[in-house]
Amino acid sequence: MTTDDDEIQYNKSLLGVEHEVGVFEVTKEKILGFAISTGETDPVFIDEEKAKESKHGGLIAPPTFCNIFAGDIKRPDIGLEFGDLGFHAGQAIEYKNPVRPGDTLTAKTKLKEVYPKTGRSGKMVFEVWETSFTNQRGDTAATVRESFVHRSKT
Amino acid sequence: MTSETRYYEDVDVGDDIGPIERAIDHGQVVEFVKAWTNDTKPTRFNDPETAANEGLAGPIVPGMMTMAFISRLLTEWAPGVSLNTLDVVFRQLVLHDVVHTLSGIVTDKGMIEGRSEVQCDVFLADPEGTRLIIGKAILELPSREG
Repeated sequence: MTTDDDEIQYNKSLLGVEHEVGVFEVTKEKILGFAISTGETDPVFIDEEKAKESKHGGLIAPPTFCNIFAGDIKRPDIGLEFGDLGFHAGQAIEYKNPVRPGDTLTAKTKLKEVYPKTGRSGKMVFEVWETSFTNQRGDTAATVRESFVHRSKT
Repeated sequence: MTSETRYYEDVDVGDDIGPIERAIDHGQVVEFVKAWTNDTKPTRFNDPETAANEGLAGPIVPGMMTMAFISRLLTEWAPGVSLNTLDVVFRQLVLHDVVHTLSGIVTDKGMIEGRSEVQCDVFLADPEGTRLIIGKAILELPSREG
């Protein structure tokens, strides 16, 4: 069940407006740190020499790698006047092009939507951001959508 | 889990993916947080005391790290697959050193703009069977028809 969007007070001028929120250097060490700590066994993610023989021609990052940059960005405050608890409710990643050591990824984020929902624990408000990561060749490497839920303690 | 190529033509709606059992251990989370933040400062993810101060039962696994494990469920089921989209809902927290079950089921397949795509639902459940994370994924599998 949803409630009327007009009830939610926040800075609506942020909706759909893109903000550049950081430039991230992709290093071999960062790819290996991510891949090894998550138990990857595919040589294309963990073995530089064997990866050269793959269809990618070298080491690439695992598909969900850009999530770690999304987790690092500072988003504008939307000035939401609701609730005193916040949780990370969900995340989606679209993997579009391989990420390689030496890539420079520019992150741009925008507020996609803010909407209310009423569940078992009462009324909640969801805040959804979408961030795109574009490499130095102008190709989108990945798009990450993150949902944050706000609710009251009582 | 197979190490052989899984072709689009071999997959049917209703096929099971996994299940596999996997614990994400404390050391792995510490290494992951280091790769993520270049930092070792105590947080709810890597430090039992900080987690306890926040009222948590123990240090938790970052959501993005659980996504990497779900990604592995899919790439181990179909080596060489392209994971195009992974969309998850974090329903409950995932604790360190607990053996969780990762699984999935194929829900749809079709040729989309020349790509042989398979859609599936994915789950991460605790030892009691409670689904802590649910989600959907879109994979592109190689086709025998090229």
